[in-house]
Amino acid sequence: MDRDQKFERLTLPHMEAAYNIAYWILRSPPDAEDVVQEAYLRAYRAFHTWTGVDIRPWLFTIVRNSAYQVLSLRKRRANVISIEDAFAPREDSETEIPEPASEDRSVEERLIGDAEQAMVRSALAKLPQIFREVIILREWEELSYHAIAEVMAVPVGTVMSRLARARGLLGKHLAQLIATENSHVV
Amino acid sequence: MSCEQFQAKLGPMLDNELPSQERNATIAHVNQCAECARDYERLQALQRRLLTARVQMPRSLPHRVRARIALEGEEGIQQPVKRFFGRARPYLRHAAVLLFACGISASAALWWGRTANDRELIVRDVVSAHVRGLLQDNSVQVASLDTHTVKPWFAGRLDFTPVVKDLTAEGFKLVGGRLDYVGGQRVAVLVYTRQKHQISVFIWPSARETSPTMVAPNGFNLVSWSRSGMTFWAISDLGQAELEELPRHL
Repeated sequence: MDRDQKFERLTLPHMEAAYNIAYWILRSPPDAEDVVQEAYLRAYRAFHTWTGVDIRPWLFTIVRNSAYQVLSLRKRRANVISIEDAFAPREDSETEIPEPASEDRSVEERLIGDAEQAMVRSALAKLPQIFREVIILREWEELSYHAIAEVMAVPVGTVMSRLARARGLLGKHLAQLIATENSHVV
Repeated sequence: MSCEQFQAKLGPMLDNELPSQERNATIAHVNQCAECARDYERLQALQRRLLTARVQMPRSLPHRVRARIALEGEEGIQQPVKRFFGRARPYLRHAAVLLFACGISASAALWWGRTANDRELIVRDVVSAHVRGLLQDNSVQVASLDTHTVKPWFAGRLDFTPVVKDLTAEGFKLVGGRLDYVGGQRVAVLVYTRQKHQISVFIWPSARETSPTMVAPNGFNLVSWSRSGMTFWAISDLGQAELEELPRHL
């Protein structure tokens, strides 16, 4: 079927991205898999409504919404608030993260491979969800500000401020983790 | 423009979101400002490092997604029920089918059990009630040799009046009576003895008339008959021939 082939050709290359979006919202591989399957099925059903040039904003919006549905279902079921959400700093509130005691950047460059990956992941995990999303969509998927605004359903200005803040926080978290690592080594 | 104003442009410059004029101005500033140059490098480094944090999807995922889409495509326009099952995870679908099959077989079994053999259930109930009586120190609630004591005792406890006969002359000594539960109803139990063998006679109302039938469940002898609107089930470890005398006298 022509429509099926077109759908697959356009969407399959972005499945890894879709999986990452779902994974970083839900933090559970099986849930992320379910969300990707569900979202692709939804996208397939609604494919005739898509009229854009780049399919990613449209597809990622569906993935993101599916993931949030699972998340809210999960929260309702558990009837608990995750610690991360409870203590997550608000977007506008200024939470001071102490500056690391590292002297220069060469320290950062020492950490490579798995340790590096684990550290970056934990720094990313520490970010509030809305900051993490903007990072993923920009740094990994290289979506334009406009496309990110479409996916997250916010104005472009908000995307810019969130991205700037997300990068700042991430830099601090990473520096902090490196400092901890160093103090353990020393 | 001040350094601070350029700082805010570094991110958008990295993201290719600056108009060309602004972009040129920012590049020019970064080239001569060490601090901004360092910040820009940091942003680039962060971008590189972030790429390592990506998670990999399971290799089978694209295959599974395609399979589901293919299934959806085949089904075309669906009925709501189909759609529900289609959306459910595959194992849920299997579970639903299994559950459905189990439900059918269970209800069939129940139906067969109900209609096929009420009698067997009663035999089982009678045997267990008799054994229960034997296990207890006192198998009767009202102990009396006198039928005129036993019969009135039942009066307030059942909605029928069982036949209580003194069969001492026939070799069956009355011990007393009690209530029990057989075939889903309260029944009267008369307990007799003969040569140290205990005999329980279960009595309840019945419209049918049947001649004595003998069975031997679990090593007991059991005789049942219906007469004058009452059903009798007598059970004992007494010999079959001796037990068979009972229907003639009761």
